Amino acid sequence: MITRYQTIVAIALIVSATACKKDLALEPYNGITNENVVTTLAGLQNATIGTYSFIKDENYVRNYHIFTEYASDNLSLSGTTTDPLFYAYNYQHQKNQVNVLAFWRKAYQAINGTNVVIEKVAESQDPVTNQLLGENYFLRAYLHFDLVKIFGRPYTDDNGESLGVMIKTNADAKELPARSKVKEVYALVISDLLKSVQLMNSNNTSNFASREVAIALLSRVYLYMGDYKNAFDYADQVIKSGRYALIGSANYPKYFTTPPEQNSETIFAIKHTLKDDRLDGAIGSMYWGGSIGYGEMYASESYRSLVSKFPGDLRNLFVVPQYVKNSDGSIKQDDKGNPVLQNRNGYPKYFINKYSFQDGYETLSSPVVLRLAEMYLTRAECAYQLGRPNDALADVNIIRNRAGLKDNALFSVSNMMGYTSVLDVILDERRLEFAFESQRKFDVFRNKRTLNRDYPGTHLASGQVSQEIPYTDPRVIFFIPEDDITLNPNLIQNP
Amino acid sequence: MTKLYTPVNLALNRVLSPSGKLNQLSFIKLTRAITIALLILSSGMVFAQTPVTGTVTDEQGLPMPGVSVKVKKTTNGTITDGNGKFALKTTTDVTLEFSYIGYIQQDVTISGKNVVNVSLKPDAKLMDEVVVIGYTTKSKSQIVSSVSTVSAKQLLDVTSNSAATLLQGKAAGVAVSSSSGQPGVTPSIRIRGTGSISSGNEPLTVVDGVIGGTANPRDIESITVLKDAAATGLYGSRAANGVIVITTKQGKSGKTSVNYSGSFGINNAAQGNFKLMDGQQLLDYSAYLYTNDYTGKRANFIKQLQAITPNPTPQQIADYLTLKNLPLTSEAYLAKSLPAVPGNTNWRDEAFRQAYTNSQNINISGGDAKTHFYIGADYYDEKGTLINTGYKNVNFRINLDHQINDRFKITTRINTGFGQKTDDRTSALYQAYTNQPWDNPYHEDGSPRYIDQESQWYGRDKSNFVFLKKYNLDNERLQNLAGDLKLDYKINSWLNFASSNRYTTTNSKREITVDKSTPGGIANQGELRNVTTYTNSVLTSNLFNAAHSFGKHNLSGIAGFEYQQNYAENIDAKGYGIVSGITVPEATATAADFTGTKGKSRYVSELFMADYNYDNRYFGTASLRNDGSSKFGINHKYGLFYSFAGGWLISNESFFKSKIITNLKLRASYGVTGNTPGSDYASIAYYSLKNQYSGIPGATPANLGNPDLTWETPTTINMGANIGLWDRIELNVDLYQRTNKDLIIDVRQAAASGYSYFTQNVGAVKNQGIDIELNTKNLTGAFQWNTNFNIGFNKNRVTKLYEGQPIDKYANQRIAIGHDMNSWYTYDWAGVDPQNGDPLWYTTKKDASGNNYTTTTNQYKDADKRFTGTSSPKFTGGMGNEFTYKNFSLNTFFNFVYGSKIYNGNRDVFDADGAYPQYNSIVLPEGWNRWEKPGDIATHPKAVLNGNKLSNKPSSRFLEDGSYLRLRNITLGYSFSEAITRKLKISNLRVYVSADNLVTFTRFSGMDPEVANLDPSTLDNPNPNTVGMSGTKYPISKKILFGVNIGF
Repeated sequence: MITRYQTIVAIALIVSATACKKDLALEPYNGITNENVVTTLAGLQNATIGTYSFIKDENYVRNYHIFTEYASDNLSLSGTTTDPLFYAYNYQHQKNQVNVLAFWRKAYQAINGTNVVIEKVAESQDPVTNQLLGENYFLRAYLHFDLVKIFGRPYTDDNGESLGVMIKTNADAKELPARSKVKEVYALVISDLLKSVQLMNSNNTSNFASREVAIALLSRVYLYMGDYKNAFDYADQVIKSGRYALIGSANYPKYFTTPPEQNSETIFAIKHTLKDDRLDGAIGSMYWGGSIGYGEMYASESYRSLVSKFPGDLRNLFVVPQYVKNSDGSIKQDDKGNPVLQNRNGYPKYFINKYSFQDGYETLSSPVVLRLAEMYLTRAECAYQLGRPNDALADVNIIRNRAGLKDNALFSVSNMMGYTSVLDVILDERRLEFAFESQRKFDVFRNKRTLNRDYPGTHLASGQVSQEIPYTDPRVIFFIPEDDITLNPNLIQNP
Repeated sequence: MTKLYTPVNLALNRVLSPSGKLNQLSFIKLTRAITIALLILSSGMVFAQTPVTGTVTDEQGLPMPGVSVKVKKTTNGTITDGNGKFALKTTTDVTLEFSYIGYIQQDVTISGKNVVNVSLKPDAKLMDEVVVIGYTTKSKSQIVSSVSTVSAKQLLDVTSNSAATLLQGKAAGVAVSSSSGQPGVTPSIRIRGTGSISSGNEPLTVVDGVIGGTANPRDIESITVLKDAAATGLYGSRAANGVIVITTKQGKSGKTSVNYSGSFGINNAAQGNFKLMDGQQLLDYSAYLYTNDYTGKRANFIKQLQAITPNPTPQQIADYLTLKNLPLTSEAYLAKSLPAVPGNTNWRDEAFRQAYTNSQNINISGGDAKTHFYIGADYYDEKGTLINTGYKNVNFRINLDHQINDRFKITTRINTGFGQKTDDRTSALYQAYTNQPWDNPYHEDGSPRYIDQESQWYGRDKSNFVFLKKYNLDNERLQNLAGDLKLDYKINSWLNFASSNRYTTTNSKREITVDKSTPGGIANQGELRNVTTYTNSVLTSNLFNAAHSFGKHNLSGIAGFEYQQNYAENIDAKGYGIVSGITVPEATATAADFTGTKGKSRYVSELFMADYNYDNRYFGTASLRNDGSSKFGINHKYGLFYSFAGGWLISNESFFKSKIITNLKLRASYGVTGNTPGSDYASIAYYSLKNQYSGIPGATPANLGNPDLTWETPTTINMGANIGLWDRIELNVDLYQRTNKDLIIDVRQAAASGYSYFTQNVGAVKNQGIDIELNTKNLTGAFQWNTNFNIGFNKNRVTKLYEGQPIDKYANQRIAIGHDMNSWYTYDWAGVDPQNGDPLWYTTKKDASGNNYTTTTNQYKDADKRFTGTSSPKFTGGMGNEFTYKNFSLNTFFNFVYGSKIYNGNRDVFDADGAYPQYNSIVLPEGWNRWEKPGDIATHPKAVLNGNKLSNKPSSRFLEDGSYLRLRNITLGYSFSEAITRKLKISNLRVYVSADNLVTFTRFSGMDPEVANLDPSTLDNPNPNTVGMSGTKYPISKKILFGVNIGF
């Protein structure tokens, strides 16, 4: 009897043991194995959406905004902060700045995503496949371009002879490239964009890449290279494509609260849905201190004095002064009858609303990357550089007109309104139109100008009254993250 | 180590347990006796003979229940009942054997007597505690591995319902630390240092012989900490970090006993050495900053003006300053930012409160010869000292065992807990450290002020938690249930089979609201977030357990099979637009977010162990476990783990006769255990589907995948000695070396790879150390004094990393070969420049001939990062003293940590040299001073508005000595005499007053030097769990409680 029991138990044990062994292969609930992604069109389409999601990732989109816009003369920070955004704002870059590392890594992660698809998809006659491939070429160019702008010196400094960023065009995880020259990176960006123009055929919404998006980006790339002929042509193509229209003056103040796909002017935007609302981690949080946001970064005195020259300029409406209210809700006035501004730490509060209130949500916004107005002002700048100042002013006036400025507020050779240079007119118009849209810093430095920050803000050390950044300043660009130099010894640090 | 054994502890319920080792002489006899007794009872066989009755008492004359009474050379026998009485039918002329574990067996010839009273004497040699060491139970003298035991009595001093918290300082080499003093927070436990970089470092918990589970501290009979490989080897791939074996209480045959214990008391937050400025101090400090700023700005503007107008008149200067918006006087400039008359709010008093702890417990246990039960019910309610925080828990346990017949035994255990946790959503903790005293949280009528971005408020954060505290909620409900079913089958006299099965499930729901009436709730019209979690685990463990003796050879062994599956899921959902005070999801107007995860893992194991001893003098043991895990790569699903140990009990040798050395044992062990990856799917190459864009699901490369991924292999060598002197001093010393090889490391990949990391088996970490436990009976007699002391020294070194590459852990720590794993790697603070008050850091420069030399710089970005110490303590430990005089007892317990460096991280805001003028600042403690004028030798740089050259940024400046000595508990108790208890018809009555954390000796400048260990699973998180970091910490509570214990 005992032996029988033992036998039964022993058999039960052996059976259960072997039965369980094959159960040791478990797959993740939230994923698909690599083979199943890269071998099907649907999988590759999912992977392409994944790359867009990397660009939307806060490590990418928010940091890109911080590095580019906070370093301009449009903004004034009203206090100190532990967030490393402070170093981008006050030009005290650190070699191990965590936000720079996060951006750098996320960019190459996204580039890897594009390379997997590019390696797996062959050009064909199939429009769906070609669109997919084209979008990946576009995204690869887009990512390299963002990187070279942040880590490589302006192309116009030395015709791209200095060190840019790593060019990564394969999905080999082991290949660790050195930094290529700025001009080599630009060459890759241009060749990828040209390929994507050939391949793309869909009329996707402005949330995704399409042919005109690539053309518009080409126009910006050439502008940053100082290749005004090409920049003009591509900007002109976009304008003449008829796909986009400047939104009317009446709707212009609501431009940034409208979802991009409903906006006729937007060429490409990084779409955020309610699920992507990052609340106090959103870009808008620093600009709008309502219910959720911090509201610490204000329009600078320097920008305000430029935009307020023309009180009728609709672009005044993107800066919202915050007034002290009486207990009945009315605005408090001082003894001279002027409204009393709120201040934070002694800095007057001028909120910026370009990154708030999409669909009514305070911190939700889809940052606009390319819009038609830029094509006009790029065309204007190129026309000027190509010796056609009247054409340039005509394009400037299209933008001013849309901003609600008429008659004497429009430029002509006979009405320069105190300006002595058409280029100054164009650059100030760009500053007005694209304020807080990550363009100003590049416009100043690619034109070899000095950024003058002679206005209150915590970029100034105690007792100081101005900060000047010449285009030759080494901190016009960021340090390569020290952490990645450890992992990839081929990398050379910026001076 | 205190004896687990007490005269009333029968241990009978373990007799047939397969987890019990049946190789002890008296055990076997007892087993036999009971088997016989049960046989008689179950078969209903009755010997037609005369009854013999009697009482068995111990050396003190107290009745002994559960003593085996057997007729010699027969199977006839019984056991004594709860009053020590027995009745047996037998023939008149036989010899009765009275045996009881730990006592000398007595043979009594009854020769016609009907009443036999016996007094048993303890056997000094066998007066040996029984220690549960996981799969087996052994008497202490036979243990050849390194284990520490903590009895229920030692465990329950501090008032807490977390067993881990109670373990702090109680066992050598076991470091328990907590990052927070918040009620309900789980501390981290490190046994003999930290051995893993990316995988878990928490020990495995085993409750009642089954992996996993929890137990309420008051249901715990004993805790055994398994430290070396000989002890943990049988747990294989789960045992890398040691094992904590918890045994819960069991019912005993005899009289039903009812025990009640209750305590109630008050909690207050400890403040340590931390002190903030009051209103006037802060005003003086700020005025200095702003005046200097004004003076500088004014001079600079005048310089600008002079460039245009060489010799400006005062009027021209005034006009220019007005044009530039600079006031004409510093007073006017200061008035823009500073109050004329400073307010003096003490924000700490607003954030913290006097709270209470209420602990109530009742347990009932008992049983007869066949069935034993234990029922425990516990209520624990601790209000946090910080507003809105608190933790409540009700726990039930039922342990039931029944002897079906002489072969089958069934045991069931049910443990279930229902908890409630509330947390603060008002930032009161942070603001208690940073808010400015000038701001008043109240209106004149005493009602709290609504503060938003538009309010007049000096502090940086424009938030008044006093207003918010009644609105925003964070309530969590916790439930856990574990059910055990165990079947024992006695195959023959030397072989058992046991099947232990456990199902565990936990679930929790957390409800977080942002009320629409608060500044933060206006935008989205209020917000409701629900987070639910669910886990389950199924485990079956099936073991053969054998024990046999041949003369002086005692042999035992285990062979078995285990299977476990763990599953976890969670949902995190959020909705906007909800009426104040409503917390039901369907009442939200907009669904805002919906996320969640799922994960599963499995283990399959075969295990074997053999144990041999010769004459209780020479001991040897060997174990082998084959473990498969779903977490490993497809090429390496299985791992083999083994251990060997040997011991020599010298004091049992006939040649060894010493009056001084009453116990002497030498031990040695060697073994290999394992550690599994933290992530369930680290070995699989896959795309994650958790990202979306524009409303379309996307797939992003998540993991490079490593089909060769396998377990980490800690190899432990342990040598130890147990020494007993005069039966009054017990000294246990262990030397160990644990080398963790093939560490599972998320090797960081260069950005160009497109991946953050690649999970590989690379790297090694070595921990070497000494554990010492010393128990002494200093005074015996009327005045008794016992001391338990333990100390653990550990030295940690990383010996190998992937291609020697260091791993940086967030900003300030680095894992590098030759260094402690928890090493600080920071910019190295070089003090203050006496000339100008600038901050200085060390930097390396090259001289003319190209040689490096060290100098200082005032440019933060040019500073060098250096190794600047470690957060690992040199040693940790504890000391308990117990004084008894007549009915009074006094217990004190200290724990200590020495030689750790703590990074006081939030000094970068409240000790910032002016960088955060809108935060309050600390009052510099004695020994620290601020630079004021050239020539000052100072610890703190010149204070400058908005900061002095990044002086407050991370550097070794904020590393502080984390050593401390804390009086964890002091208890004064009074036990009422028997005369009184008899009158009250109860068996015992004790009242006591107990105080927790009354005194802490430390040089640390923050509120509390206790900091948590590293949690490697959060390494890739943007905000990793902080190792050795202190900041705006939830301080530990000082508690004073009154309690009573009543036994019926």
